[in-house]
Amino acid sequence: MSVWQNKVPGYLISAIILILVAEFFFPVPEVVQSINSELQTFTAICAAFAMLLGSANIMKVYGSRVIKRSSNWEYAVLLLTFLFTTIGFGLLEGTGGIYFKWLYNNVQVPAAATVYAIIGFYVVFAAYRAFRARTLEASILLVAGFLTLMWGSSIGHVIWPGIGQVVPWIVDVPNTAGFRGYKIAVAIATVAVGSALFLHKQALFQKAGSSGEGAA
Amino acid sequence: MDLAFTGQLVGAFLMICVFSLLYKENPLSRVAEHALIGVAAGYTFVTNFWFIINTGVNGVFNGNPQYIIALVLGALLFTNLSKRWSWLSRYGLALVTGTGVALAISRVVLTDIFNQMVVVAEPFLSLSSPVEIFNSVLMLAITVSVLSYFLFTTKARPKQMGPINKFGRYAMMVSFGVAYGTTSTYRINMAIGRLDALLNPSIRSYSYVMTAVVLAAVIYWDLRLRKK
Amino acid sequence: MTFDFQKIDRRRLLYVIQLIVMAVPLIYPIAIPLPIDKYSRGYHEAIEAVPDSTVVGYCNFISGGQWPLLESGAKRTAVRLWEKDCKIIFFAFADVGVPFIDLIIEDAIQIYEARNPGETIEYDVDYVRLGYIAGLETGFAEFLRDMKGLVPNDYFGTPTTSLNMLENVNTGNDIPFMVWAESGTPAPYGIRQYQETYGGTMVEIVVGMLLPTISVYFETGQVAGAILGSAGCAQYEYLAGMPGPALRLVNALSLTTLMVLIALIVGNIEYLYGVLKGGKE
Repeated sequence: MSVWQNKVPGYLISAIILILVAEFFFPVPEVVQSINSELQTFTAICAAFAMLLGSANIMKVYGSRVIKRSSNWEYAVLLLTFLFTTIGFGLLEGTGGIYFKWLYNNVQVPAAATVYAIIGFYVVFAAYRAFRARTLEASILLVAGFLTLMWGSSIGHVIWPGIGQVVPWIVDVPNTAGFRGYKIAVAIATVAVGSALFLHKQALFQKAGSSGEGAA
Repeated sequence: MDLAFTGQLVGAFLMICVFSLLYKENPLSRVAEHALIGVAAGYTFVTNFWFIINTGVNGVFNGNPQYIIALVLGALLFTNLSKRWSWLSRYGLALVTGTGVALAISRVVLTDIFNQMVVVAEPFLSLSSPVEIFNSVLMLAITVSVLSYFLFTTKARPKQMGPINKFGRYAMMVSFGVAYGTTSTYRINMAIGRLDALLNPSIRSYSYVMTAVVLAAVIYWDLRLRKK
Repeated sequence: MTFDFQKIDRRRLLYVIQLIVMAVPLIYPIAIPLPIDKYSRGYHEAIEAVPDSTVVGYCNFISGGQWPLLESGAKRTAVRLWEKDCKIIFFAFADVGVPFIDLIIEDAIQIYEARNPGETIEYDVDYVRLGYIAGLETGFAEFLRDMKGLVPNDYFGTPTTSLNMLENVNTGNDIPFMVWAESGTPAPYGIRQYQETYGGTMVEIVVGMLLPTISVYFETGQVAGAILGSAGCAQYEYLAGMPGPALRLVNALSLTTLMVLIALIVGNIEYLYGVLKGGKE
């Protein structure tokens, strides 16, 4: 049974990686190209199922809170009410329905955006209380951040017109070079992890402590 | 009062409830958070459900019977919710993981490795002024040292790498500083965007009243909590 | 009765001051000079260089949080492309981006009709909507390989094979220009799957936070130009000759950023004073 549970999915990953990467680097027969096209469509559909799974998980977690009457279970009732109301309108009206879009535009959008937006207030307080030039590295970070903030606002150009020459140089040369090095390193790591998955050196599905090919 | 205007008021109320987090976490902010999560999860469910119906199910009935494989593999993902049968979800995961990894690694070699290295080396083919020479040499030095810092991270690295890695760290601090500046600007921008929505002339006076009421309620709740 | 400064909750005091600094320019607009950066200039030049009647892909990830920052640039891009008689294909790989395509199209049509009296924008002539497409990078790769196979119906349920505008549009080779409107999470797979694979021209509408990521691709020419946040939108409004709401937001941003700079200076002066006095922070 463990062959079907652990090894076969691993072989499946290797086979998929092999034919998709082969198509990119080598001329392949049309049948392989058709298979690749279908694989990509299958993945798009599976990805949609994965998003459904996320919602189902939320139903499970908050549903169990209501059933067990955990602390603050009343909020879970509220959440599930909004969840099922949204799903109800969405399934009845479709994604273009009036009430479905109303819920999205007037509940999710304002609340979600505001959750991100309150960080804008923490930024100012953090600048006052937390951002200290304690070491050389922190000082470099502070100076670069300070100049970038000045450059990003119109008033910075009024205070010091030269900021328009200094910060673009900082962004174009040291910043771009630094990010470039980071991007190349991440790309190499991506290829390495992909190769490890292909060669079964990186296990996605092993249980901790089990024997077999390289644990992650 | 029409639906659109009611929606603006509901949105404004929820925004003010979330902003009340700046004072302290309170029942009104929790109400807003749970409403948000409920609608967000429902929205995600609906949009992906209809995608599955339009592309997958309709595809099966319109000359693509092979889409049944995708529908079965996708449905198997739900076995993740059961401890006993969760191993079946690995097949759907294998498809998604394999395809995603393959597409990423095949293109990333060109986009993020080859093209980036060409751009670092190209300026050396046609240097004209001292400034260009300085910039090109500095970019090459920083790129190599940052790359070295990320790749040679174990204690087994040669001692000679030490100064190079240190230079790479300092160069990265410049990148992080720029990232800090731009991220701070972005977050402040978002806060301004929300304020702009609250101060929309059509609901401005309502916003003032709701802010006063919510703030009063939160402060009253906080004072009662402190007394207990 | 003496006033004890130390007892004031500095955190909440800062929040109140910040709230006032942000809100005042939104209610009473002020005039601050606006510099133009090379990313906005590149964006504008790339749009102007698009040949008339080109088919353009427009992928939207902008959702609620970024909408106030980027809406102006997103709408005016569509207006300018329609003025060049381009055919726009709207789609989204994030479900949250779909409703905002509604807003982009509605408001862009209003701006277009105000600028071009007597002319209208028609569905299946000037634009089509393909709605939400799952799968992120994989979905995008398949979309560019076989658009009508992955998306059999448009947003309104009409078969894509019956849309006149898409008659000769089947793969990424048939879309020479792509507008990529991102949210706060960088998605370089757009560059990987479209620009690198099909060689088209790509421009981005992104939040300012992605400047470090965009600068790398801008230097290599993989991204022809970018609108960066509300400042970028204000710059594009100026370059395209379409004044809009972004300038008001930029003025509020300027004053709030000044507040951050002052907070950084004051905080570090306090810290250095403590260090020089021989005490710990």
